[in-house]
Amino acid sequence: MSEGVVIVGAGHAGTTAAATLRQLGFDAPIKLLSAEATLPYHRPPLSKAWLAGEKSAEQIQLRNENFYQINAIELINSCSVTAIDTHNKRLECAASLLRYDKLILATGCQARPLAGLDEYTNVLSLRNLADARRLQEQLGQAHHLTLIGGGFVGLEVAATARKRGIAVDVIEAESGLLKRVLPDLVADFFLQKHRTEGVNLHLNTVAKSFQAKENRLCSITLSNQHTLYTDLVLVCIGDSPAVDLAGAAHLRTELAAIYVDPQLRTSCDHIYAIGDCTSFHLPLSGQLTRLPSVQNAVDQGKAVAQSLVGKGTGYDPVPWFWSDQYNIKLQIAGVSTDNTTLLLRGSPSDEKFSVLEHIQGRLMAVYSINSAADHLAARTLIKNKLPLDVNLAADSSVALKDCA
Amino acid sequence: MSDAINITFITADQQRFSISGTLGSSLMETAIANNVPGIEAECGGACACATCHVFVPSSLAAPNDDLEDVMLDEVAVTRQSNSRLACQIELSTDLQDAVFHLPERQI
Repeated sequence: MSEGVVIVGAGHAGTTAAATLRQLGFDAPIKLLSAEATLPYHRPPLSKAWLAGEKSAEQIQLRNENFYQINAIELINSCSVTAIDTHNKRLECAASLLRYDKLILATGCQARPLAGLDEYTNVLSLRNLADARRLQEQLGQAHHLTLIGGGFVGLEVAATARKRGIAVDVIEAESGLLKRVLPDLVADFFLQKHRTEGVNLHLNTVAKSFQAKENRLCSITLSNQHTLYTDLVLVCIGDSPAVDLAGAAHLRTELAAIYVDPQLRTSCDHIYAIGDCTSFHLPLSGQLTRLPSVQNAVDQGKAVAQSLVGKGTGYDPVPWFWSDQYNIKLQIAGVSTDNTTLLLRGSPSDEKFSVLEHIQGRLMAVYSINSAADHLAARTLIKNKLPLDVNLAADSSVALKDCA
Repeated sequence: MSDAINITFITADQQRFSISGTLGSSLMETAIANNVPGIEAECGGACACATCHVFVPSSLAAPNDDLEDVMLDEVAVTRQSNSRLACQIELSTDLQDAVFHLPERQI
């Protein structure tokens, strides 16, 4: 394999793939291409600890600068890939052609934009470190922040801003926050928490028109006729997988993401894809799924390395996820499916509880609030498919790991 | 003198890594930054994964809080009385020349 592996994208997935290949004894060349100018870094702190000024850029690096050279991983920064030439197995980049034997696409996602707002200097999005730097700089001057979109990114930034004493409004099209990703009990918990922390919520409404002075937005009129005044806006209405390269190379896409098989292979047998840019059939649920999360990025990064050295056992994860907002740690294990029965353990009023979703005792998903023991037990129980004693599980004085 | 804190990690197979970290960084960040093997830190320090398990000198053995204590019950190898999560230990002058042992696995 003289040309080795080229990995497009140096986020959690791409960097993990490179590191795992070396750990498994892969000794052909590895090129890790980053569109950014910095060393690879952890993305979650950008809306939390880094944005709050609690961590520096050095502290959130995925590996230190010597790691790549020590492991003969050629990290190429500020690299812009324009096309994949699948016939000749090479990448067309802005300034060069890179040959490969195997290609891994780890291109991640972009923040979905809201049309018509590009010209305003105080309307931002948050996906990468450069975005986070702009946001942090403007937060330093802002009295009022508006989040368009009440999903995880928006709410984490809202919590960080509230801790800094900045007034915050959230505009959300649905009837509650996080409605599409959490059971009602947990979504309602977050709604109450943000209200209690002083966030002004505008639900069942969208931004209808914008008023500006020079090139700064100063107010937004909502579909419910209300006008809100603001000096900084963050658009956080979801992410879209970066699939332009894949699409142009005619790779199969599903759910607007690059479709991969259990070996992380795309529809082209020498091209693999991992992380936020992918969709696949999740064995746990049997469903076609996207899992934009650190867990999936890291685990697909490891799995693709195993596939490439001929040791792939098929990607079959128990998904897990976390979000930190104020003093609340949400942890999710598994994935929601239809026909589940819900079971509550613990106490929402104590800000310490879990909602379990099971099918006749077989645990499918657990949503935990400040209940790390439940979360970690759930990951094992879901993986091993052990039937739960639901009466014991409803009793929070019994450890969840002892309920199967 | 700078705020460099010199510490040593010893892996399960007895490899020694003598490294230097800065005051205020976590033990986990310091290990990762110095390519010490044997720490996974899947969640990057959010106290959400229990994969940065270390064995510490007895003076450091008390977990920071209930969350760390609860997470320590879930580590991959059996919890010992001197088990801690490296992401919850901040480098301080008390840790100068401290030695940390790593478990044989984190997952």
